[in-house]
Amino acid sequence: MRKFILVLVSLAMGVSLFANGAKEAESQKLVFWDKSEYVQAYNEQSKAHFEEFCEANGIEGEYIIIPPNDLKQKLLASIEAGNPPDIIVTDDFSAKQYAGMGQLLSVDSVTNAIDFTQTGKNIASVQNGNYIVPMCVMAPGFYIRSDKWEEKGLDLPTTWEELFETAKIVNDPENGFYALGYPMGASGGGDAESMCRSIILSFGGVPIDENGNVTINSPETLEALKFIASLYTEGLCPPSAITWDDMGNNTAYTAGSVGVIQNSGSVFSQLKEEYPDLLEKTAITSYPSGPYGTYIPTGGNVFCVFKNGSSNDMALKYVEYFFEKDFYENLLTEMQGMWQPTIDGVTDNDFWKDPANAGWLAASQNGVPNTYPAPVTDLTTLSFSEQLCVKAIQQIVLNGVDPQKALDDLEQSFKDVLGQ
Amino acid sequence: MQNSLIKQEKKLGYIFSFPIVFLVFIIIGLPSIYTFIISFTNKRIGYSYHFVGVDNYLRIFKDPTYWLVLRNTFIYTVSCIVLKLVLGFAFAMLLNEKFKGRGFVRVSMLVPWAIPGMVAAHTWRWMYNDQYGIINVILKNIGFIDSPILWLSDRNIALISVIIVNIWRGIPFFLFSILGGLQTIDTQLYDAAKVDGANVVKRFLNVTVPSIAPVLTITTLLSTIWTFNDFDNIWLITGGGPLNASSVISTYTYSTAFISNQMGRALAVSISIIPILVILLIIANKMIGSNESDR
Repeated sequence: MRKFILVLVSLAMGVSLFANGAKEAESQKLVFWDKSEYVQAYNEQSKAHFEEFCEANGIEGEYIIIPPNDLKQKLLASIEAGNPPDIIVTDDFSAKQYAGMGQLLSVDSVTNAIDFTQTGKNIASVQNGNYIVPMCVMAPGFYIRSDKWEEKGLDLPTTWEELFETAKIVNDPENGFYALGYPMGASGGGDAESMCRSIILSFGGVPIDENGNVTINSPETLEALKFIASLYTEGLCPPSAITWDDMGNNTAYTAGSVGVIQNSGSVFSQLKEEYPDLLEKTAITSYPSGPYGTYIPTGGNVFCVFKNGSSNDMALKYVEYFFEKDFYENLLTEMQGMWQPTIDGVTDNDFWKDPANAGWLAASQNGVPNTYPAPVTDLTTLSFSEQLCVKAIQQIVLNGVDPQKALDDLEQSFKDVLGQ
Repeated sequence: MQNSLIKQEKKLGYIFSFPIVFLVFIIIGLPSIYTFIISFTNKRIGYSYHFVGVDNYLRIFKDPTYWLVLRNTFIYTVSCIVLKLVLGFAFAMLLNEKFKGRGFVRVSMLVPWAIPGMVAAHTWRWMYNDQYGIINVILKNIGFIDSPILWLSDRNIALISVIIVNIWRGIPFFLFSILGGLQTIDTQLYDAAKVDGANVVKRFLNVTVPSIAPVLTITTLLSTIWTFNDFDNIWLITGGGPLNASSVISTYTYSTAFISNQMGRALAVSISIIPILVILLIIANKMIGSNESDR
């Protein structure tokens, strides 16, 4: 028996030594979790560019496409297991949380080598250091079916109040057409929360002030919440919009069943490619204003490099390589206006001279951060990605909760997240 | 001599059992202990954490959402099991009879079980769509409804919608388990009952049901445990929404852990239901044991 165990242990040791030896002989591997984008051309080109980089540097590359709604769960699991990817592309508000966790590598080498625009720097800015590289800005626009408004002899609305009043006239649910298509599902995306915050700010409410204090419980925010809820309770949005995810409004608008959406250039690129007739009936303008002006929360896609990844140097090198001028300029064109650049010198071409595309470029320079006017920290951005305002609206619309009670609860939720 | 042989055999038994016991401890025991410990901390992934005592448990027990989710879990489990059992039994009785095309029907009934869960969930989600979904279109065309039913957005209907899908997917398991049991019943038992003057109902209650009782027990208990822990069906169709109206313990735990990044609290939620699952396992164990001793 002893002999048997001795042989078994020796065998196990031999196998483990062999395995270690084989591991050492393995080539360096760069793991890239890319965001699955609405425009398929992005992932195809990004993959090809990444593989080209890996081949040129003699390393093994693993390119994985991950839907935005799944990224957080997968990433948290990989962080917990101590095996995060080397590079990810994600929304700026998610990246800022990873920066706050202390999981990211400083990207000084990239930001020193590349001259990013101020807009780019804004979406990558985070209080505790230099951890995020801005990949592109995704300015949102206000899409409106101008033909439907003209049909009723109405001017396009420029204020929230006008939008509400004209929407009531245009609304035609009996024939399957709703004036507004605002998603309000707590699905993890940013569209619904961004829309809520833009209205709250333009009504004079301030979720978190510039000193980081929760200041959401105010008469102005209360009015904003009542206004947003009325868009659903008055039947101006499809009833199911209260649970739509970020794709819901894209689908509804391209299907011609809603008259207004707020979205990034993703819908614009899709209309150009697949629905040119609908694009002709669409006007893309700035957001309506409220008593306190117009606020357009603007974010974008960013790169993060994880410090516990296996190939830190190569990861930083790849991020720098991504902004190689010809590739980046061509990629922006392929994105059909959905993306606006974060570096200078890539807009001097026919594409960006087209007024329709130039409008997106201008819009990208006028936005405010998603957490405006709060300082950008992991917790203020967590309050955005937790979709707290969205949940408050759902409480009012679905559970019939009194708006002031919903606002009191919302204030408490903000304080819980910020630890106040 | 005999005693020493028995002792030696016992020793050998322990030695041979050790690797599997060790493996089970590594795979199940250690993570369970770790889960239990973490449930007493304020752990959030990526941040440092410390012990908070029973704070997580107190918080979840005070949270109305937890009780809503627990209530949903019981409604979901009980209604799914009862309906799967009744319908599965009925279909099994039907398919136990001889008729033309029986083979084809039997194979067709396997389809819901054979389709990957993700595909089925997305298909149902599309069918449930209030504006474009085929269910509302059919109901409207036959004049059953005037305005679309909000299958996934109405907080009173969302749970029913996911229950329907679970039943649809789970019927084949009951059907084929019960069908297998029915085929083992000796037809002479029915003949004898007929001679004794038993009608159809009495033959069903006194011959069919007792004969397949062991099958019914095991099938029901296994399915109860699976249904209690069901995740993908609900997560992929409603995400537990709206406002947790269709959320069950598994989806609530997942969203607390990975969406809100409150790992300590999420693990407290999962630990809190262990007593319920343990009771189910004890019942299962006893029933399996009594069925075996009956033979």
